[in-house]
Amino acid sequence: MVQIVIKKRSDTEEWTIIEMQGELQSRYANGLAGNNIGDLHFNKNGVPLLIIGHHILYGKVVSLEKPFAVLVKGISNENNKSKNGNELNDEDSAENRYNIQAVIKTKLVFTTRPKPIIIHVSKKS
Amino acid sequence: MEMTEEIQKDDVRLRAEFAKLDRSGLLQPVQLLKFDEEASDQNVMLLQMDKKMLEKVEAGEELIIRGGSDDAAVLCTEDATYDLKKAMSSNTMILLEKCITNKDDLHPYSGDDTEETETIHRHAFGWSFTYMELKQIYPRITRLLTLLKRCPYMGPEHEHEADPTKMYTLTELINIIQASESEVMQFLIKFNSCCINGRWRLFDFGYIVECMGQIFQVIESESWNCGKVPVVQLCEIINDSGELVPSFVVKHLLSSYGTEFKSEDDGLIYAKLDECKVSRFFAEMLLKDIGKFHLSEFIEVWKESMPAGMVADEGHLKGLALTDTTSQPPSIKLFKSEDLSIDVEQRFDALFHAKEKWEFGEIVPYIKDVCLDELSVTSTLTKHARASTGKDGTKLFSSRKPLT
Repeated sequence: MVQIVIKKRSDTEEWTIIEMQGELQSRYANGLAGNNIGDLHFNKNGVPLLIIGHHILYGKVVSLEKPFAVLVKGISNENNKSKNGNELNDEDSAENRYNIQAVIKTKLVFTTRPKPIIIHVSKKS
Repeated sequence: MEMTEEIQKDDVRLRAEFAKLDRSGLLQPVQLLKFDEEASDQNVMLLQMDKKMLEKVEAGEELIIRGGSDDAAVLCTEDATYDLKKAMSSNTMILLEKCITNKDDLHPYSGDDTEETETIHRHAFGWSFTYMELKQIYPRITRLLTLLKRCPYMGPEHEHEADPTKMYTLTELINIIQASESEVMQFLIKFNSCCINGRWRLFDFGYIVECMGQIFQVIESESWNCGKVPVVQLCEIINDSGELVPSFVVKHLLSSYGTEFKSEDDGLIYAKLDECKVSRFFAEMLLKDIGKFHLSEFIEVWKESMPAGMVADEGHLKGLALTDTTSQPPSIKLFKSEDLSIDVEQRFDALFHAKEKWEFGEIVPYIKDVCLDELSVTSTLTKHARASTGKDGTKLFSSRKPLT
């Protein structure tokens, strides 16, 4: 029997989900990590506007009926030895522990079709 | 550093202008979103939960995922068990470590065209297309009975033969059973399990018969009312008679088949035996180890075996014994709900194998044991059984599968 313990970290944060249709791709096909996503504006009505590349997306703020916990495979803060001083066996090791790094109660949803931004470059001389 | 900041801020303004956004209608700061260098879709798991569970988790309650190599994993809180299922989405979910989403936490631009755009950098920890969904389920307690039955308690004189590796503490049971702690406890009580020297045991049925025999003998000879049995006096009489029924066994049996209460007249502890539980005990005693019993004969013997003041009623047999009125002569056999699988489909198969057509009141006690609430009893029945109307107008339930 495997048991995985999920426990809140003392400093659990509140995160936000940005949800959009389809999949993001980086311009240079070098993966998403380390890349800019875009600029997040809000208008005076509280509507989120996201500019990604040469697209603009209009979204809405949604309070989640069913919130999420963000689980991260954890290294336990306790000693890596069990009470009797033996090395921990597989079932007690950090592999079988998840920390709740954050909770998510709100998401920004951008499911409308992205509008292309057309730039007219005016030639100034 | 300063320089790049400047350029970035200009870029933000420029990009907004390109997108034909009018600053006067917008709020700031603008949040600049960027993936962390280590961001991936592998470093996190999203667990969807209801608000009630979130509150508990935020208060520090642990969740435990349990499962052996052959089990589907379940998630347990302190008092409930959930099925865990991975849900896929065609939408990308980007996880932002911090983000302002409420317009009241933002402010408008001043209107001065030279005003710089305020910006904040926001980091995305990762992204995901999946999340884990939870659905509360009936606790998977099948193993509990199997474990408890491995070493039943047969009385103090047999304890030296008992194998201590086949009896379990609560902690050991919780580690083996795919259910929450309070559910395990609830079932230990339901099965009349007794904690002896820290280990949870079931009494061997033969031993129960022996001890209950002693108890009823004393009740009869003292002409006590089954609704008011003086507990201490009963223990003393049994002890004096030289029979080896320890007081804790007497007390455990009295609470298994009744309830203890304190009399307001004399301040003594009494037990009120429960007519239904007592009659079920006698029914099981009579039907155990016998395949089938003639119904009329059984009813007669059963009613006679009841102690004075208690009446056996056929309604007491729900979920315990099955009558077959189609056989000649009508018969009855032991058919205990707790012996059936907690897997709903397997349970229905076993039910329809035992009897082709069931009346509603007859089948419900066998379904109730695997349903979370009253509402799901009806829906479970609708889902797994076919309803038809019998010759005399009663509603009958039969298998949806073709009989093999």
